[in-house]
Amino acid sequence: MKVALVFPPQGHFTQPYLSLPSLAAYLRANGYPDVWQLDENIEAYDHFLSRARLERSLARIQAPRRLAELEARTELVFSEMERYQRLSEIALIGAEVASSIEEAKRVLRSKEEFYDYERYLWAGRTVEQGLRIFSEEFAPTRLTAHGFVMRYRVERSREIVAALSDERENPYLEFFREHTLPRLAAIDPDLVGLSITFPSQAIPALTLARLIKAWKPSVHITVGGGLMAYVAEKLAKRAELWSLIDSIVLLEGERPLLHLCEVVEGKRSIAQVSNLIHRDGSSGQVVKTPQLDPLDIKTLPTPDFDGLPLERYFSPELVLPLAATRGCYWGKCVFCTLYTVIGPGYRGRTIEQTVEDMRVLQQKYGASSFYLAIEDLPPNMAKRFPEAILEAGLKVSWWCDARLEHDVFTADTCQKLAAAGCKRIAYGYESSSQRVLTAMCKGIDPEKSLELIKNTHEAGISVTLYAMVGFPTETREEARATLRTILANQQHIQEVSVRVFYLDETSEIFRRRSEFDIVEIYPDPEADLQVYYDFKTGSGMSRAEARTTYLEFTRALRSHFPVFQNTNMLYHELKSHYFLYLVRHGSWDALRADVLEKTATTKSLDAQPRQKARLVARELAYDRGEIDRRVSSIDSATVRPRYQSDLFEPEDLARFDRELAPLAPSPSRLVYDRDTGEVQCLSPAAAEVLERCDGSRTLAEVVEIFPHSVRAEAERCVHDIARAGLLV
Amino acid sequence: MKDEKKPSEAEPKPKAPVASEKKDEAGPKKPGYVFKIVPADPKNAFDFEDVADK
Repeated sequence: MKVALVFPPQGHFTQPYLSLPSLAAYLRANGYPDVWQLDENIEAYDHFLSRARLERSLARIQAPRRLAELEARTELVFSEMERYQRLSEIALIGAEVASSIEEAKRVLRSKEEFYDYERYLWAGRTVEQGLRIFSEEFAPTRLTAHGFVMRYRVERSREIVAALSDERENPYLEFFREHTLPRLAAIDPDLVGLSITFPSQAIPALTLARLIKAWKPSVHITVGGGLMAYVAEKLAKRAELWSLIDSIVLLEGERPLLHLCEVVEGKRSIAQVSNLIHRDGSSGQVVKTPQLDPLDIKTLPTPDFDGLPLERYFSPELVLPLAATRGCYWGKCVFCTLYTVIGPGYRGRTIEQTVEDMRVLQQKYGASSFYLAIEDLPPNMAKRFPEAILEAGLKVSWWCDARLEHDVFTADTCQKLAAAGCKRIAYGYESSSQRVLTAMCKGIDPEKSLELIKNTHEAGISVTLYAMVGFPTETREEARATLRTILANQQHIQEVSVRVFYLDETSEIFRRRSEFDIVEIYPDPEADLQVYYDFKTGSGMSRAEARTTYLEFTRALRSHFPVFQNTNMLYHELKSHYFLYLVRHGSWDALRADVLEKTATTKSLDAQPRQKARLVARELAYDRGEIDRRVSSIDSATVRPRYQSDLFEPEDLARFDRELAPLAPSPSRLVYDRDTGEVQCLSPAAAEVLERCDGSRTLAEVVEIFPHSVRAEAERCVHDIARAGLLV
Repeated sequence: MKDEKKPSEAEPKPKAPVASEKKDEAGPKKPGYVFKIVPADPKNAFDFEDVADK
């Protein structure tokens, strides 16, 4: 009996997820040793970001030729500007990025170079540029470090089905055929389990299922994971699904998967597998089996990461996820949907078990960094965990989410947590308004929360706050007060993770929506997998205002918080990279002083300024800076919100082409710095200033070719060029 | 704000475009020297909401 557990793309690439190691450990401990774990997410990123693959993309994209076609136009409409933006970047940097991509991955995996912040920024930018090159081959599909979106929407099963065979726009078809199927063929599994946690995995996972079924129709394919908990029953109504998969596991996967192994071996009937949706072989009816109480997680083995390609994640050190609890001990927030994903009840391992899990994983994999994948650090654990870690003699670093629990995060407790390796806590702050927090049933006092935040930071633990904008009835003034409070306390806050409130049909607030003044919801008749609903409230912000206020937050955070500056790279790779930097430097204050502030310091201008040698330039017929401004001036989410997708609908694009002013040619120069990976756009006069900075002229001589009336401006431009890092 | 990402949102009716330039507002270019240097900003740069969820 051979089992292949697969984590399909797309998740992030900095560390493994917990689902496969939890399931593999359980199966191995219960009589099924032949379990393979395939992280096709990291395998795909690693392959897509290889020199050979990017060169293949460049050959297929033909960016210089297509850019030349656009440059020959007398004007550009909106959709052409979008294309111009992408092609001009690729025409300039494509070959260089392809030739340096392996080096960029090496830096991200290097224990030395990763912590050289300049090198790290270059590597991170190069990876993102590589993903833009790769995405262009499959446009409008877009794969980034954080997401995968296609024109097809994952809330419409009809569109998902169409995506599965779209050779032109689905990048995973080719990858799975060339790479995943051979790996699976070598295993020749009897059972394949696909873990689908995120919506971005839905299309890739079902694409893979389709290819596996075509290759080996007899294999039993089951899918499970967080996303399935939301959409499984709706998806099960779609007949095509049952030609791709054989069953769907609901909620926790350990027990159903073990029983499915017995079904495949002929030892159990599929009707005897709990928490499962399947299609009955004789009647063709879709059947949902009874739901059993979840397992006591104290009985579960330590996650087993054996077989995962641990050396391939884009991080220099392993940060292993570990679940000390399942569910939330508070469980009252009306917007929360955890019950849907995790199932009923809150359960925890003992503190001794969690310490032992860490010890085992440290010994087995050499990992000393952990992400506690829990909803919130329980009060008894916050108090006793530090002592248990220290008593066990463990030298570990870790981070987790927590509730702003008033009696728990005292100065003393925070100091003990820090001493036991806690480097970062992410708190659910949400709002500074007691009225809004009470409506949410958060059970916290925003004034007292600020004390806990201060205690946490002063103990040397980095503080992240979750904030929510647009909770029903929240006014714009209330949201802005939250932002003001955050900014006023920013000396104690390192990161803010802000998002707009979404109305989820499985939440308490959806069921009691009239109590929250939600007067209308807008179902999409074509979205048979719809979970989120647009809505209208009788009071507070409209949805568009909520989005606009969210954008106010993001602008303020970018300008006030060091982590979000300097192209935001540390935050970009949120899951592990910022945390690893904290571990390396000991605390936020040390990281800021040793790295971020040093990098931000610009050296004074030389007497004879000289441009860097490793700059690559391309003359453009259009003003790329103006194109960027126009393209970014339309926020796709205010046009037609699509959850986590910034793609425009074709009809919206056509409307923009008709209604928005076209752009006339106006030359500019795009300059790529091969040392930093940054790309700058210069006006012709600024480009001339840069050219004249050749190390032989003083500042006055650099600007002397310009009329007196603009020389002061030209001198300022030299300083701007220096700040942009283009001078030696 | 959990580690689990959530399924896709509904699609409400499209709103009016919010771009600053409408067709009839496009004026002639100002002559003279323009000294401008800006970072090239690709459209899919960093979104807080994307990052928060994975």
